[in-house]
Amino acid sequence: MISATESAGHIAAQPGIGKRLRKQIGRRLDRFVVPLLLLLGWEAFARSGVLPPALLPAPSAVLHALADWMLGIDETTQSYSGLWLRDAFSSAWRVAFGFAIAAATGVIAGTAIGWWRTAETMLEPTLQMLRPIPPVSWIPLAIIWFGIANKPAIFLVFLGAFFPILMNTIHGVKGVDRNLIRAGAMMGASERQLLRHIVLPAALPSIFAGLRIAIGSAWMLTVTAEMVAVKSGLGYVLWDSYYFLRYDIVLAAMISIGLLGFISDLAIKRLMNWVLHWQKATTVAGRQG
Amino acid sequence: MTLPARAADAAPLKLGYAKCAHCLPMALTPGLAQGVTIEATGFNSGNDVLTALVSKSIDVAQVTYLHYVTALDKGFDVVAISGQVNGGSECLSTPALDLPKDNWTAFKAQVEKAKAAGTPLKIAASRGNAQDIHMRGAFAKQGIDVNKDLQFVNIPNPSDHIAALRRGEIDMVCTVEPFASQIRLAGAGKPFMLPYDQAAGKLTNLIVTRSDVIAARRADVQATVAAVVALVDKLKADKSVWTDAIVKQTGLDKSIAESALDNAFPDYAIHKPETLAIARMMKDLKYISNDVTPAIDKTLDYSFLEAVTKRSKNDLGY
Repeated sequence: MISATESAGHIAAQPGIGKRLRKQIGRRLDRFVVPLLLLLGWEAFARSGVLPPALLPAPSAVLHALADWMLGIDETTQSYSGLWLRDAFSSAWRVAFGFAIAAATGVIAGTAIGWWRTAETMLEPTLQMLRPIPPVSWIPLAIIWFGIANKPAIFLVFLGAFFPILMNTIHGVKGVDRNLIRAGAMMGASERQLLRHIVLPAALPSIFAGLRIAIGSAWMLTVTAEMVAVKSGLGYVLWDSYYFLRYDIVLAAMISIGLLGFISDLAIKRLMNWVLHWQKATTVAGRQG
Repeated sequence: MTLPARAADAAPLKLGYAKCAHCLPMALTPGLAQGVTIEATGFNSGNDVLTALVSKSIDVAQVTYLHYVTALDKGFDVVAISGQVNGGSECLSTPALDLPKDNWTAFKAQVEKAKAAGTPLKIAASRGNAQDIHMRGAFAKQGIDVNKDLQFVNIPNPSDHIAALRRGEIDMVCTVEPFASQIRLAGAGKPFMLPYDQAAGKLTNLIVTRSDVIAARRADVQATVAAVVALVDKLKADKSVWTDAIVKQTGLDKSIAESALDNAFPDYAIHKPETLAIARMMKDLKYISNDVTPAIDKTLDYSFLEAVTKRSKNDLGY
């Protein structure tokens, strides 16, 4: 067993380790430079008096609103004070539900379209026609079909997430190396085995790319989805605050959505790295660490 | 030296209005203006109009009294210069409730029954709209607390009210015209009451500007108020002009447009006591955080209306 002192001495003795550590810390700090500059510029502009502070609240005012919304420090966010967790959970739940349905149906439909010509002929024209329709335009139909509250919101989130997953899955399946399939077939694999052991694993990088795009779309859609008669959620708070000209809360809601979107993307990225660990040795992503 | 001044004078005055049934006739204002060129722009909501005004994208805005109060609460520079049209609110119940019109006794009995059963009646409105305030005031006057005795459902977009009522997801809705007429004529809801029996009365729309616009373009603002007064007089004399404007700009059925206007009251006066009542109600409901009644005192400018109508401010709602 090596003691702490021995270990420290051992590390110090290795030339270049301190330099590498400094480089690593520097790289970690790099990511904060642009956001910090943006915040400073925003604070300066907000304080310049060009626009009324209520119209463009400074980052400090937005952070104050966010802190009160999260922790209920002084009730400046009025009826939302201290309810951030409830709102974040409501939105996260709708996003998770809509995204899960989109992921399941998108991967299944995308695989079917990519693999079977009949499915492609039958499904693709309809889906491609539906794809350019903006999710917001589905609101009236969503209410007629699903009523008010959570169901139409989940439907809209599903719509936002479904097409990126579908398109990437189709692309992933169609892009599988034919030689791999030939090799599998030569070894006597059934169609089901080919799909399970060759096509799907080979399409996974593309499917995960679709999932990452989709989770971002799903969060974007929360703002649209929560226009429809829900009682809580980050998008709901954003709209409701806009009706009362509380731009500090509007911005706090935007930051919250961005933050949760970032965390969800990070989770999918981690899952992707774990599932696609075999890719690391052969791709640029692996070289970057 | 005179050229830039002339160019500035010739610049059109930008007027914003929301695309609701009561607001749409504002599109006719440019045609009635004399001595000023008005460029009228329709916005999706009153909030968008107000945001455009305070961010100086437009010069004059048609908003609701609630928007005006909210703007004062936020410390924005807004000055009320004219009324436009009031009314437009209606509460309709689901046919299943079988509620007779204006029968508060029957309604209170249903409220109590549902509350005792643990399933309070669901009432919808768009939070922060004039209809929301009218409804809460009228219910409070009858001893009904919307938050405690009923279950309030916020449906921000009034065009979604009819579907919620049809599906039985709400028992009553207090909505704005022409959606109220649409609900009534489609049989999706039965008229219960016009919620005007409360301190805020039937106030709906107001014309506002900023003090810097008044300072820089007083004559143009005066001419705009004159156009609004001419518009109001025109609407009072002949509602068919209004109906045509609604049908043309919304594509709504003429019967719906006509029905919507039965509950519209063109009025250029600015009603100060009711405005103060709205501000107090909004403060009580925590829709605003400050007492804006002193600001209302300072920012109701009757001078333009007085000049156009030759009436005193006391006759104009002060």
